Amino acid sequence: MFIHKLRYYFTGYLIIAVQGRNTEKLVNLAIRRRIPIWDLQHRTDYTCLKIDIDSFFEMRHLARQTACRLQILQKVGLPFLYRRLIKRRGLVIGLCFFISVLYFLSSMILFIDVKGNENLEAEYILQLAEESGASPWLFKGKLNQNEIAQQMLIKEPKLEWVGLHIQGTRLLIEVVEKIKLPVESDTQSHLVAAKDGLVTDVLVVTGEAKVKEGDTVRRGQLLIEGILRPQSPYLSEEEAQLPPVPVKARGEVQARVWYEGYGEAALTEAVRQRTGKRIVNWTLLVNEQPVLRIGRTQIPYHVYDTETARRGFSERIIRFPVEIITETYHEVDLQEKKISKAEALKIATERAKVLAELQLPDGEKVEDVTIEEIPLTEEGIVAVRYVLETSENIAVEETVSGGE
Amino acid sequence: MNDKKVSKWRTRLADALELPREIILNLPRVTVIGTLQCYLENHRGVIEYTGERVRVAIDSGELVIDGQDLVIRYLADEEIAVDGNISAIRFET
Repeated sequence: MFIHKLRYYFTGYLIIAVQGRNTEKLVNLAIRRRIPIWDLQHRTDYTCLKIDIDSFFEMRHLARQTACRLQILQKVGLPFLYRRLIKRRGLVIGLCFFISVLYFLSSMILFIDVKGNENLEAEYILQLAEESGASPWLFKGKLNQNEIAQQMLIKEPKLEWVGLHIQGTRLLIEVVEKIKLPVESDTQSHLVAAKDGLVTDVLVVTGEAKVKEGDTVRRGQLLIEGILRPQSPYLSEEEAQLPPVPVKARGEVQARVWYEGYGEAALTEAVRQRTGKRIVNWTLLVNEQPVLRIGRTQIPYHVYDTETARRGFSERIIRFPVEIITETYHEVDLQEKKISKAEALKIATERAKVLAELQLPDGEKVEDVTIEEIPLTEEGIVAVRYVLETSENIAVEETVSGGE
Repeated sequence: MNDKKVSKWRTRLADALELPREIILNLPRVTVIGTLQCYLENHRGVIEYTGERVRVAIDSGELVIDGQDLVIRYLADEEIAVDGNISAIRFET
């Protein structure tokens, strides 16, 4: 039907009014002659119908035969539209002109925006862009974005990066300015210990060592003081009396550092084993509200594990607010299992090892491992201490707050 | 008498060959979509058309469609589609 109407719209059709007693007869005759008629509508004193242009003369002939009066109410379709447009030539020309101007203007750059500048003036960047070849009233196609960005970078060394984007008729110039890195402060600072440890090696670049090999240091202890004293034996007495100069301490202090972990294990172990008996409860949820519950409320087991699973319907098309919760109760048999002391020690060691390794900083190599059983007064438990030994640089710069 | 015989024979043929009866017996086929549309195939012309009533000739009499704001949406040699507020469809011989 739609295709029919579309076809008649292209070829053009008429809406006509038929007046007379023999309207039905006229319609029947028209059908016999295969005249396409559609959308018959009865009005108070006439019938409205739609008819193909080409059949209209034949129809008028038939109307004369059946003593009906025909009147054209409206002409619809492209041929009539075309004729009307020809009459209103000015309108059509204006419309074409308008569209072409719109198209022409939208293919040019009309505005330029600058984004991201902090110290440089936006106007300066615009000027820079114009010198590099990006100005308003330029066709978008002629704009070589990469080259302009490159040109701008070369012309202004304060820029780190330039990006050009076209958004409709707007050219957006994004710039990133170079950031001056803060100059390292030359004020006095000391190196202190980051961790407890046993000093094995001291290397001073600037400053004065306050510890020596074999010293034990505590966290926060001063290792290298940021001070320079005239120390050469060739200096004169007076020169040796010169006041010390505060400097930034630099150097490395290698020390043995220990990381300790502690683990316990019982000689008896509770083993949970499911007996295989189970009870399942189902709950139907609608809108997160429990609606229906199937199953037992009392769990007849002494010890049990609970497993809960939620299941909703697939959300492929729409989300149903319905979910089913399945709760499964497994009966559990608890048994005490005796384990040998060697095995208990192994478990305790494993636990201690995990704790010790957690403290180990990334990238440090373990040089030595000590495992030691700790005698306990309590029966039935073994305890193990697990010590990792590393050799690392513990010197860190002292901050204002002191220490790490 | 003879006519009836032929009709009976045709019915049997249609049953035996499982052909659509409306073709063998030359009967109208009426498709009704709620009260909105009545689509009739195999008609013999429009007898009466007003906004309240459409009478269509069929082989064995006429089909009367009663309703309000009836519009003949489509009209062809064999088919007719009536749109509107249909209240009754009646066969008259």
